[in-house]
Amino acid sequence: MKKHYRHILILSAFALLFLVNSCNPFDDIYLNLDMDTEFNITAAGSEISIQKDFCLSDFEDYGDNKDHLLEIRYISSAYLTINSTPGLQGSNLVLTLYQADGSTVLFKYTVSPFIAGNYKGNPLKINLTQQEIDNINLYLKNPKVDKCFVAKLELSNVTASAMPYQLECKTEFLAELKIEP
Amino acid sequence: MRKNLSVIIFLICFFPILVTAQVGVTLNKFTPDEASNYLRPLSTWFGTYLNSGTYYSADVDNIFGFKFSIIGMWTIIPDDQKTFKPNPKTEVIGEVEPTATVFGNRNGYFLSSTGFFTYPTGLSLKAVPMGIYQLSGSLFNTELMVRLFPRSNFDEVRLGLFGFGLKHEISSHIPLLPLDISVQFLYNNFYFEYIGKKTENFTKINSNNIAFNVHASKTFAGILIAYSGLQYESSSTDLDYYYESSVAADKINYVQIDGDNHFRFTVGGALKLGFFVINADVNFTKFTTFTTGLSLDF
Repeated sequence: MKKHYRHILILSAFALLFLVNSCNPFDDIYLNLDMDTEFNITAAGSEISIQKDFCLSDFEDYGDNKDHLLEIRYISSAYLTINSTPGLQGSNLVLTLYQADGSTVLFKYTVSPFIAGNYKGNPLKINLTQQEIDNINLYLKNPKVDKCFVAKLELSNVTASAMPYQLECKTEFLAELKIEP
Repeated sequence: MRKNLSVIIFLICFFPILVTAQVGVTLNKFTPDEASNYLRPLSTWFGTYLNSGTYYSADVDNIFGFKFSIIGMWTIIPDDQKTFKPNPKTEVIGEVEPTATVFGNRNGYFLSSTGFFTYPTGLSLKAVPMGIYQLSGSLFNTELMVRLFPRSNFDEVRLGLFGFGLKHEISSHIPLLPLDISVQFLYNNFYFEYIGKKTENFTKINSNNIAFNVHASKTFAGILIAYSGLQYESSSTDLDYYYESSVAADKINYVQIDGDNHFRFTVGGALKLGFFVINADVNFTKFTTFTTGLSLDF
């Protein structure tokens, strides 16, 4: 009889363990975080060079979930012209994303030639190489530690129908946050 | 992320366990078609939840009987109910990936003419634990079951639940049957409304659920009951919500969402210990549901 009690006790312990471990109703959450950076330039020169800093903590979804983050992963990015002087164009548009130090390049993307109006209401999807994606993901390791970036926009040999010209545009970066329940 | 406060409050009131979830539910970005697909699993879940735990025996007293039951449920959400293919109103550049339903855990996105558009995620649930209480009274082999939480205001939310079941033991008319057999009709309504001042939080949910079942039971040695039943059921949820549309007239949208509830098969057992009855059963339906109950049965 004692043997039976021991078996029942062991079985009950296993059953309890199984119940406790299988009774978490939550899955991990995968949340897409859209980080956009706007540039607004009014100039008359033949070169444009402008940069903007941003951090993950600037975005509410990151701040709300920071303590429960398991991973952040790069998904996609895009460039969009919001408004521009008619005929604004240049020979090379160079979009560069740096780490917070402003010198370590995460990716560099060139559009040649660049006509601003082509991307108004028609965003340009920025296709990165696997190496560039890996660079970004490596930088995003330790997701609970806030990361900052420098986004730089350069345009050379700028011409437009009127001077000074104006370019209002944005780059968007999409990352996936993996959040523990 | 902007949260739809009313839905969060609803979840806090009716899904206490979900308050630990890190993300809320936002309907404002969904077109009516998308809102319908996003919430369809919730409508199905209402139909599953509210039509569960309604019997543990087909034996109904001929003289006065009374029961008070507290029932716990564990509903498993199948993977195919966690995503849907959205149908955006705006122009899409490239592909639209599937996105989370209300129970899903991965929000979709697409590139539109104004940049990336990201859908809200869901509650990231693989199962929904829930409870309910009910009172029953019986006479002449007929039982009336009632579930009631009167419509009440809590801060910015008005909610209520009402349900009833009518059951008759048909085996009482057939002598010498080795089993007890009953038929039961069920109606359950769940109501939720945001009554606060923030128009963008407006949400109204009115869920109507009906079911009809035939069930049988056999009692062994006066204490052990084995039971089983087959049930037809349907659910429909009326949803009014605030939609972030560029057209002012479209701000409040109405959609009717039919749940994916049709048939269920139930099998379970109960232990009668004096006035107390403990029961457990499994319900095979769109969302497999395990229930367990504790009843005071006179």
